[in-house]
Amino acid sequence: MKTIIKALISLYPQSWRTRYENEFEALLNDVSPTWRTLFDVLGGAIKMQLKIWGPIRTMSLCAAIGVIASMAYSWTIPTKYLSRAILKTDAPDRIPSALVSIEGRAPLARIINEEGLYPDLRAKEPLEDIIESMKRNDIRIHQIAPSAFEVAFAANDPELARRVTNRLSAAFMTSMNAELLDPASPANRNSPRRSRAIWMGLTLGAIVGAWIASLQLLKVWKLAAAMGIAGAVLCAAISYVIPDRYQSTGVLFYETPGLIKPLPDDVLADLIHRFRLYPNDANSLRTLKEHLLLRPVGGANAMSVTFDYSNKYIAQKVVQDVESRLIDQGAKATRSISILDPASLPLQPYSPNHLSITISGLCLGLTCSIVLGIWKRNRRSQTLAAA
Amino acid sequence: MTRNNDPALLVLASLAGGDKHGYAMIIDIEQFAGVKLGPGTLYGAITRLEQAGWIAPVQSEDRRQPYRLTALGRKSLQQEMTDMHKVVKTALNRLKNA
Repeated sequence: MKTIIKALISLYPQSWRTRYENEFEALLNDVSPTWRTLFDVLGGAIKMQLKIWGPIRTMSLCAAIGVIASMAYSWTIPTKYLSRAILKTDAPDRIPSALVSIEGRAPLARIINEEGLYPDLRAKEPLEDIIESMKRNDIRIHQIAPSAFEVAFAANDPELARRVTNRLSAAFMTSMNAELLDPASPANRNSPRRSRAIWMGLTLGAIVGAWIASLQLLKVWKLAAAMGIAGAVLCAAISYVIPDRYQSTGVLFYETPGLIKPLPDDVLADLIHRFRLYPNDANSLRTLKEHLLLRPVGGANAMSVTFDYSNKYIAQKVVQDVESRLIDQGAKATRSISILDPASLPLQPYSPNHLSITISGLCLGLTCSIVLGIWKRNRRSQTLAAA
Repeated sequence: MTRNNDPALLVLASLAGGDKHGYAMIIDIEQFAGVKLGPGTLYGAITRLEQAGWIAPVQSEDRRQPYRLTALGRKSLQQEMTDMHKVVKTALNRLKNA
């Protein structure tokens, strides 16, 4: 331990070491080599360095630390392999609606289960979230020519990536009579998330460096610590007072495209009455219209019904009820409407995000301390000038 | 006014009792103030005080470098203690009369 503590002397600025290194080393020989001593010497080195550094050097160091930390983190991101297939179609406008049915919860859940995808995540997270992550991060579909499009899937194993790409291609071929031009290629290494992690590390490091440089110039460390902690604690407390909101979503498929009309007020009033929604809200009808959304998905052949509410079971029941009503409406107008994705039961609230609110409070507190430091400095300068 | 456990103030108070090197200051401060300063904190204070001209190194052959209080340092310590004494005296009187 003594050797490690003495090695920390090299972290002090060169000018300081020229003057004090011998006597400081003599002192370290006398004191007990404990963890407290180690952190005290390290803290002293950091403070001494910050004293002689300018803001640019501080920001550069923090940016460098950010890049190193994010590179270290990026090595924990598993390598992904991307397999691609190219399909041809005479009806490229049908791609979005085909995508809605192929990316439905049931078909993707089947692929996940049959191919054994995401075994670690399945032990920790609800299947709904895994499916959303799969659609967002691993499935890539885009048009590459007027009548050709590419279907790609990224997985940790190259053979797995190719198998899933084959399955998705087969689903497109069945759904919209597409022709396979290029079958699923042998998967290549593809890890865009690594470069993104490094950029984020660089940006966050530079921002933190700017903060530290400002605190260094204004000498408001204790104020910054107090206001940062106060901001974080206050915002965290507020986030737990805000009621959780759960969002349920269902998707309907229309055999023939049609216009999506908003639900009439009498239907909405019936929903409010049946499910006792917003009991203390005088404008319950307006509130329901804000939170119950009917939106087209992938063209005019599919529609999503989304409702967010403070109770997850009621959120699901309202979506189920709306889906049933729309199917009945369609039957009366001789339009066939079917459920593509049944109303989901949200297992976790989608808001509020406690972590991001707490971090926002911390950042706000730190920023306020910098503003206050600048104000105090200006006031001191004015007082001195007046004197 | 600085707080009574400010490392720089503790170093000045320790040197007011005679020249000392770093380890002797740490032991002395722990005895009279109950505060155990780490070597990093101590030398941070020594650096600031020497730059301000309030302490100065004493010629020594030993690797352990002793320091002394300068006239300026003595005056600053005197002022600081006088200010602190006023506050302590007022607070004690008020507590007595409360």
